Amino acid sequence: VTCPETERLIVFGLGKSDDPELEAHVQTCDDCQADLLTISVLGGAGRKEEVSEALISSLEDQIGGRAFIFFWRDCSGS
Amino acid sequence: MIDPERFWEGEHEYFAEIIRAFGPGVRRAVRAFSESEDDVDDLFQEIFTLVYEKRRKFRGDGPFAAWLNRVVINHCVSHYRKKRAEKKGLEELMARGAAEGVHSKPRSPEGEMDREEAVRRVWIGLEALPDKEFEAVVLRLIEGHSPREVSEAMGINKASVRSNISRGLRRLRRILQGDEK
Repeated sequence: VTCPETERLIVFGLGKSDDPELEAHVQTCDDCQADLLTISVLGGAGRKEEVSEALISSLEDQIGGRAFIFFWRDCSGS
Repeated sequence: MIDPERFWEGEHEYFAEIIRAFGPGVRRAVRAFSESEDDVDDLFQEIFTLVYEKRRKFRGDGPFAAWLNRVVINHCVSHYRKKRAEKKGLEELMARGAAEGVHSKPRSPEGEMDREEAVRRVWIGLEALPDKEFEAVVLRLIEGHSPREVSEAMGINKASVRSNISRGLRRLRRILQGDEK
């Protein structure tokens, strides 16, 4: 049995196409199952990650504080 | 594509734009090494603070996403190893406690552990990929760019993009299947 091209597996693994033929193949192929797991993990299939504005704002505050410390160290030469 | 000058400058508003654009991919990696939603946020903040501090190390001669993901994965893996070492110490302590009659925490169901471990292995394995394979996998899978966009970002043709991704996946498969460390 020939394994599908990687790009076809990627499109399927990222949930961007229905592919019954490929799906049937994957059931019987350990290599394609492993590749599909990798694709879905890295591609985040099935879970949409979001970054809240509150988190970004908290990061900006932290970075602002650090930037001030670096600036102060530069000026004081310590 | 990012504007390296603005990134190096450390302009806060631009940095926030970068977090919005690349944050979702970073959170996927971070989640694989975290035990709770609070951990995800803490590690995520740690990483972007580190990215800010290291920003001048980005040379601007390759895709930003690849540089960023190297920083992310290196940090996540070392965070994970540190936590695992702490946990091991704690488990040894608890085992001694159990031997002395102290109740120990029950383990998670085996299937759940297997899936979590497999997910972590994928991310840890990514660290071992050679640069071109790493770049192609990051841009196509984590950032979700089309093969044409990956080819433009890397300055190579689409056939080379395909073969880099295939080689990268093959290497990760061997790691997942336990044939390679």
